[in-house]
Amino acid sequence: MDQGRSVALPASPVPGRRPDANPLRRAALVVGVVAAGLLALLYAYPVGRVLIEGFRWSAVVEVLSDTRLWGVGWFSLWQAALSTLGVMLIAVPLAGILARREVVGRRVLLATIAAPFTLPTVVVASALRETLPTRFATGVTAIICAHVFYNIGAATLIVLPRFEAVDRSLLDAARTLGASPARAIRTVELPLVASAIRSAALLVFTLCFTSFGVVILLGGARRTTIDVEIYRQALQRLRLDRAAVLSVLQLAMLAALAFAATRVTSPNNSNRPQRVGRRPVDVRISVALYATVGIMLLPLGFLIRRSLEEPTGGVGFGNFRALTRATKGSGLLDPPIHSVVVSARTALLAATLAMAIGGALAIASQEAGRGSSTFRLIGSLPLATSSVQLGLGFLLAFASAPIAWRSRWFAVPLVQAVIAVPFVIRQISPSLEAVPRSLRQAATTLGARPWRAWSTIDARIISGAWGSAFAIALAVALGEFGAATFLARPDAATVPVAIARLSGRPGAVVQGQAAALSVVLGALTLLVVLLGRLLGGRQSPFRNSRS
Amino acid sequence: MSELRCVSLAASYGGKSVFNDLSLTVGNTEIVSLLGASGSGKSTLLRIITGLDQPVEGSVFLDADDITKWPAHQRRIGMVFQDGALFPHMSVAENIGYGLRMTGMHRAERSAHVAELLTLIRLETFGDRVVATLSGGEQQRVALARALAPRPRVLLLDEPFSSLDTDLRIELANEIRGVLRSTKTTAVIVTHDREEATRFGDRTVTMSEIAGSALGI
Repeated sequence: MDQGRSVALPASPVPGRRPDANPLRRAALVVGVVAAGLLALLYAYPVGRVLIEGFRWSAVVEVLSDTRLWGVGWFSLWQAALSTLGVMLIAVPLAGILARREVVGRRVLLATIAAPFTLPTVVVASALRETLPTRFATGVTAIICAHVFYNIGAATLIVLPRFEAVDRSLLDAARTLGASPARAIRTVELPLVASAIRSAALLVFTLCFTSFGVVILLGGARRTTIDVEIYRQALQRLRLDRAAVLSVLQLAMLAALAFAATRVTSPNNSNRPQRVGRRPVDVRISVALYATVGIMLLPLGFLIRRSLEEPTGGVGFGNFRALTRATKGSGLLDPPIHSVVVSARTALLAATLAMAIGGALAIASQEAGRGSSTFRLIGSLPLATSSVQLGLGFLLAFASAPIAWRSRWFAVPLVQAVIAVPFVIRQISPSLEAVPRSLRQAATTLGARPWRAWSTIDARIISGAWGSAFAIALAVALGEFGAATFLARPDAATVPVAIARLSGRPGAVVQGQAAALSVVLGALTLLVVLLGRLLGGRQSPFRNSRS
Repeated sequence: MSELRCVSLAASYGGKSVFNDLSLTVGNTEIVSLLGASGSGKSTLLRIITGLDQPVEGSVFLDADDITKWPAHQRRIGMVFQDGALFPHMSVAENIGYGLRMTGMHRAERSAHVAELLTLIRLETFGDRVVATLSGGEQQRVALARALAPRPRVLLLDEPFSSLDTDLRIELANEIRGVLRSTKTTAVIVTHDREEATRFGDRTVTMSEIAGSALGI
């Protein structure tokens, strides 16, 4: 009799079905598989073609018996080692000081330190060229200075959280046991942060070893890294086979390095974040740090000054006005300003596609159930190859019908989208993971269907992360140079390609244009990154703002 | 061991006065318990005595030496920290031997000393253990051995039992008191537990007794 009343409660919607077989999960799986398929076509296939070409025996023998190429490999190694040393010698003390002293405007200072790393490499190279005295403006000094300038921020920010996690009472204990301040740092603090220093050094070394934009612009004819040699073999000597062999050799060297690094890296000392209690602001240290960072940023000042030098002498916007005029012998068909239009279009397309692929993989790895972090792994694969290698892969892979895309207008946005995917995933995934499951369950108990629960809860909570992911994808695409040099058509050069062409030519007018265009690109990139930061600031409240 | 004298110390933190005109004498081999509410400056006083912080005014004497300006690592004043502050990247034996290493003692001599100290705290077999695998009580015993190893002239203990539960607290307090007695160590222990203070020290002083008014009136 009472039975009718008791079943009036909202019961499980479809009886007999397991509760976890929800449509959201299936949708996530489908979306993830489609995105992975796209990456297979746009990443795995081109890289696979490079590998196949690169293992042709005759070409391998030819490359290995060329002593000049051994010299290229050796130079890539030692300049990267010196650059890494330079970066760490500045970044480690900087992080150590930042961790133990309170600084006025800490967030601003950290953002400023990080800024050079967000700049396109061609802008960094242009800035260093304007900073160094003429006899050092090209060559190994310039290359190493540019690498140091570019990477200090990244290395500092990697090491800093670990320094902050070191319990200050450990250092106090060492002091009461008879260790001088320097010895306490050496025997207690540095060993505790060693693994972070190693991983930062590994990242910096990899970036310097595969450096392309900086070396093209500052290396001159003599100084060549493997990536630059790949470009010269492929596009100047039309030896795609030798370029592929060099790619394979470089990949092998990096793989060996990464393997060696995992062998020496000890398990992480699980020291928890400390930084309890704000210390009083240290004015002297603040002043010193701002002065140091100011000196670090000097190259940007020199670049801006150069861009404001009129070709006729004096100060003005002549170089910027000259961007609207095509100059004979500039290496560009159109006025340089045209490249800004091309870059804007290209970057928007690339970022949109990267958001689609990266977003799909991030969601799939979160929602599709067990073992689905594979999706995230697939999405981070493009980090393993340099953009030059990917450009070479596109040349090899998309050469003939029905996929003869390599000289179509969309080749550059496609390759840049692939390059940006890992950055998108790195923005979105942690935010998605940080949303407590209980919220969505609460929404479900309030009557929301799975899809509505996801779209009204998870997707909304991480809306800031979507924005900052798009901004970072835009910044990556705007500054991308290696792949674009391979694929950009002469009438559709992106800004980095245009800057490289201009600065490779003699003449005050062209050089002035190059400086002005670098300033435009740098400002554009910083603007995009800043917007992303602002959006990221409204990020998920569940995500640690320090990460 | 030595006699410790604090004379008219004043301390401030972030521009705010913590205490004023504080004087305290601890006799040779004496164990003094220092009581005080949280925020009364007990820990600040210990940090000034060790040299980790500087007083605004006043002096610290160790026997006849005015050590006010000496750097922490030259004072030979040991400290047992609230949570032990054991070095996580070193074994138990390496932790205990750290202070001896700083004095330049040779490896063989050092390990003999460390073995003695491990016996003293009844953790003979623990030398190779990773610090993270120790219980709270074991960690504090190792911290004590580490602080005693370089034979400090005075030992300071900053609420060394605060993270332990009551039973273990009493047991460990007795044990550590025994060790301090047998090594004839001059010691100051900071606590906010009156009972513990009476049990542990030869004499109990409170912050309000030894310091002038925080306002300096």
